[in-house]
Amino acid sequence: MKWKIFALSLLLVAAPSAHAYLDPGSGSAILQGIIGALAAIGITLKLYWHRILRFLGIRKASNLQEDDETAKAPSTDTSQPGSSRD
Amino acid sequence: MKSRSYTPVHGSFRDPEGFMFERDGVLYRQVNRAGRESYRQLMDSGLYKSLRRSGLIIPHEEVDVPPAEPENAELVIAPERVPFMSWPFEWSFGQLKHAALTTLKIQRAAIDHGMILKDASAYNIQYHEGRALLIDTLSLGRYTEGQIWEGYRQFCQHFLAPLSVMARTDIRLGQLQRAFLDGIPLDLASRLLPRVTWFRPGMLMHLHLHARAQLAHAGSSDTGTGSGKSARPLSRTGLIGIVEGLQKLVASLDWEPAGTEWADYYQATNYSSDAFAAKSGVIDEFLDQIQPAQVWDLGANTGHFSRLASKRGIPTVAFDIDPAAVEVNFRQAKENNETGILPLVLDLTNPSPSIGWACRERDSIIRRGPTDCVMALALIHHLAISNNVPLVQAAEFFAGICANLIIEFVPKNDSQVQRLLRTRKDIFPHYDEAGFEHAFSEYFEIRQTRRVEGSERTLYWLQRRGDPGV
Repeated sequence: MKWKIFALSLLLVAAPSAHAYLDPGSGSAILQGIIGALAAIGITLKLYWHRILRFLGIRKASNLQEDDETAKAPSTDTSQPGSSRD
Repeated sequence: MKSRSYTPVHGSFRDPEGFMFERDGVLYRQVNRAGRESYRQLMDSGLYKSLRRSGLIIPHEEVDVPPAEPENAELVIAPERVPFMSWPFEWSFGQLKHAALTTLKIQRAAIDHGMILKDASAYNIQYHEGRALLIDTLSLGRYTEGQIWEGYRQFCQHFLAPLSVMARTDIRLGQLQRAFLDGIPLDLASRLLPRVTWFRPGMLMHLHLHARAQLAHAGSSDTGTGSGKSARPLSRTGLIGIVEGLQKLVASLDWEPAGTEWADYYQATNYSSDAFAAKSGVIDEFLDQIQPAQVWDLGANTGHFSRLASKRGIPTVAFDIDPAAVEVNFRQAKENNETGILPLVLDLTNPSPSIGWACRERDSIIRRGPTDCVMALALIHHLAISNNVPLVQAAEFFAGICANLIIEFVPKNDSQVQRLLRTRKDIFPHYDEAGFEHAFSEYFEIRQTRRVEGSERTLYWLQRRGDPGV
């Protein structure tokens, strides 16, 4: 699965711009599928990685956010008015 | 031609689920039958309440008024009116970034409520009472697991591309948004960005490879994007991953306002602190008498004098040509949670035109007026001497955008004017107080005149004769 995605990514890099007529939606949609799949794999791997760390007692649950790269984005808790400030 | 009992709002015609219209000076949104499901889910899922609580969506009320087009209508809602609509190319870097993060935050909240932001137009975000919020209530629709984010391309064009080229290439490239109404084409952004950005995974995927993918698949319809179903279904986790990845990428983009012409203007000006205080005092006095409902401060710099108005609770738009000054102003307003001031980038010698379909989609600065009161402080010499605008034409322009004008006349013996004249021939024999008063009297009545103590400058309160003339 991962190799298939990798190969597809390579194809995209190498793809020539042969068409004159632009339908930008198609490329964006395909790319979104690929990035989404990669992101999902990343998130899943990280989840298991943290579970392993927690299982081994190396990391506590509350520290999970600290060096989780994908979760480093600004807070998405929309229940607090103050949280919408970036 | 069919006569209408309402005025459609220009720029609100693309979405089959509804549109904006105006009747008797009140702004409404008709929700079409096609938009019933989206609207009901927004209200019933708790998403609207959640977004309202965090100030991320414009408040609205369901109202019992006749719809504009009854044959399609489901219901009519009345959203709160944003006193001044601003366009993304008028925002500073920080404002565009804040709007981008607001869009992603809304998207993230929507997914949690089983909904999705269908599009991601920067024009759907407005600054209202100091906050960026979504004004298009019908942008939110049902989310079905597996579907793609149809607005992903739009997000990249409207937010990611301009922010990236502004941060990594040149801040002035933000003006490309004025030329490209649907955002900066990704292949153009990709070419403008330095090569080193190919090594940033986020920029590589969302901009460079995205641009390649668009070119490679131009014209193909194998993804069926129209239905929102991709040949490669996008999992919910994947969609969240994309949104959070974009949040991280946008948050990492930065630009520091420094080294532009006005960055240290207040330090460089020839105003002593006494004269500065005296000038503030006179403006306060004028504002007391005018009692304006709205103020535009033209040439506001970082908004020192704009705040004389905004601190009274008057919605104040603080325009300046310098993106650095506007950025500083915005950061200050944001830090202090100011609700009355809206800093914007505007070049008065080439102000925002009306753009888009039929030249009516996004109104020019003049069409968004006239306003109650314009302040033009330490500005006239830049128009008259740097840009050779005859004083009478400056007067005509101001008469077209305001009823009251607080304007500062800066004479030739002022060191700032001397600086402008040092490198060029003085071709302005009528640039003096008498010439100024003569020119402006054609359109305005001089209500009050005050010499600013400790300087050579004069402050005027002028009142327009009759209706806006332009």
